[in-house]
Amino acid sequence: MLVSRFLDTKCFNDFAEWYPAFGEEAVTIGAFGSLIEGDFAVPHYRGSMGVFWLRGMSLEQIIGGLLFKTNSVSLGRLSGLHGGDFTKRILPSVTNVLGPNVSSGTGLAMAEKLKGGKAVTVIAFGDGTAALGTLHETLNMAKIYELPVVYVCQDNQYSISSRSNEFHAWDSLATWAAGYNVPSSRVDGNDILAMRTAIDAGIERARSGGGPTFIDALTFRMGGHLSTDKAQYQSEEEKLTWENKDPIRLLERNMQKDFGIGDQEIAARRASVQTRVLDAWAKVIASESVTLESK
Amino acid sequence: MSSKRLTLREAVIEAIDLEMAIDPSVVMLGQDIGEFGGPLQSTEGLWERYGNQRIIETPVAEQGVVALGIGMSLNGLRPIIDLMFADFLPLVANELLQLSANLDYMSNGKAKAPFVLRTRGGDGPYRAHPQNMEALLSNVPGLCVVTPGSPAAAKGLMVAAMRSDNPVVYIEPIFLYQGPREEVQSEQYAIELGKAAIPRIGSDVTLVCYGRTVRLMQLAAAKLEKQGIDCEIVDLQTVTPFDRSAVIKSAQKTRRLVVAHDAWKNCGIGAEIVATVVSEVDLLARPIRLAGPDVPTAYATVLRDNSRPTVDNVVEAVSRMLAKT
Amino acid sequence: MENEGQDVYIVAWFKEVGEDISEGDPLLEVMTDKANIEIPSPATGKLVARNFEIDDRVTPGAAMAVIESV
Repeated sequence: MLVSRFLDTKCFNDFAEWYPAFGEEAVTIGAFGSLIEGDFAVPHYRGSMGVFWLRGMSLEQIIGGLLFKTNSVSLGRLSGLHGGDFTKRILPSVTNVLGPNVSSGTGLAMAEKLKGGKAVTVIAFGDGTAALGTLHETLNMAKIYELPVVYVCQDNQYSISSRSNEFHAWDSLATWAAGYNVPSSRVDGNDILAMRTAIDAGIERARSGGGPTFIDALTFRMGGHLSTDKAQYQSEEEKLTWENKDPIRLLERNMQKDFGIGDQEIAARRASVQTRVLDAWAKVIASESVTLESK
Repeated sequence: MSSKRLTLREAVIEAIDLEMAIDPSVVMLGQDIGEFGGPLQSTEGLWERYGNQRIIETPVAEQGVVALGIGMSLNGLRPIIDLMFADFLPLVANELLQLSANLDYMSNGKAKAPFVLRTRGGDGPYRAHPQNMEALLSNVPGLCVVTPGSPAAAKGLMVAAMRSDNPVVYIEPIFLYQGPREEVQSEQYAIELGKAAIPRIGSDVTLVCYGRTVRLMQLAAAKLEKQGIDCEIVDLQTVTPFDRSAVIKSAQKTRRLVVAHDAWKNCGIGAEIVATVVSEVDLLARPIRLAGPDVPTAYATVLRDNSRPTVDNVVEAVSRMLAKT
Repeated sequence: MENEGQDVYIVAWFKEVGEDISEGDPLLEVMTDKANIEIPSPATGKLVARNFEIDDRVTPGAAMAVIESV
């Protein structure tokens, strides 16, 4: 989560436009943290870098994708947020249109089932995306074919300036998915341990041939849709509420409580990760950039 | 070498059958392709031979199904995604143009989607889905679009499409489905994608065509021969990316160009052919495009019959062109 | 010789105008949306007229060909 947070912070500060996942790290890291080798990860663009790192891409590679360096997995063709390494079974987002990742990601699971394989596919997407037609078609098929897939909705409650619940006829995404007879639950998306419990159950179900699972991970988008958006449509009250539920601090407080870890150690850990990220950044920024001739 | 007289429909099915027999990664996805035998009997006999694990029926959810097939092709399978009719192509345009067309390039070769989107379109004895959408798919880079003009080409192009490591959209002309039979080699064979065929060699005029208009041009050429006009026919086979060098070579030889296709004229494939030729070849006469009038395709037979080029249109255009030069 | 039933399209003629034909010989091939059918000659004689060309639509009831019996 710290890797994700520090990468996001650096990008937020350095780039003219950036789409950070502040406050949503427990969802992304929780969703993809239980996958084993051979499994497929289909991350949402928001928070994707943390997922890239979890699934084996190096910090240097991830940063290379952000800075259009020749070490980027797509040679600069994909934006940093979209540039997952498919050789590590991370589905890249080759289009900026939302939806196709979820539906084609489900195809990975379909092929796996037809081949008699054991790989599980975890697919993340936002609450706004859930209103798209293709999501409905896809969830329907995941159930009729009983596919080995776990859907995680990064339910941060906003699509740019729209409050999702004003535009969704259903009570919650969990009740919506349940309408397809897919086992679904609403989970506290800021509690990484709750996320892991829910995800592990979904992965186990998928791997044993029990079909799809839907996790509505309730969280909050700390900040605007992108860095230039001041999110004035969010109320002060909700911002404060969710600030107090910052997923990283929640985990740290739990670790301190359950394992007696001191403040200094927490701070040292943070500093160490931040240094790693910034060191890697400095190294990559000095490396070779992509040119028209790059192959 | 043995062969059989097959219709275009039978030739495509034979190609799929032979390929599924030797390559277990080839599967089919679509509506009613199982026991029903496919719309217009397009999958006749396949389900009986290959069963539910390889001939997979789907709900009426074209966007989701096309994307599902694309995802399947990223994980080791070679699906033939059956889109019932080509006038549904705009419905799945996002999946084709933004997702599959981008995969190879944007991932720098790491994610390749070896699927075939098989569909059927254009007017014909079956009248419900007459609109032609191949131009829509041709502007965006990254897709290969093919359409056969005859049974033998249909088999070879389908084999090449199934064996391609990148997406291929395969559009069968409904008009030719149960139409003329031709001797089709019984062994499996592929026709190279991106290469045009020259079914008739000539010297007076280049007739560029694809799909249903290949037959049209052949009938027109036979009539024109009686007038002493010697036509060369270039059948694109691959509509996008089309065989530029074959088209240019023919135009350089004859220095006269007529293009005929069923789809609408405005921004159609004919426009790209003419632009390509005119930028490289000094023609003796202004090139002519024969195409559908720029009107939505109506149902009444008189309106429908006048919505696409005819043999008489071609004969008249060529005669006029040669009279002037 | 009439077209009974639905709209069909002419695929191919097997005999030229002026040729002799026997009852049962394949005279022409037509296509519908469902099938490709060879139509045999209903009579023995000479084919004197072919009323439609290849790829033409033939409406039900239209006379497709005229055969003069001997």
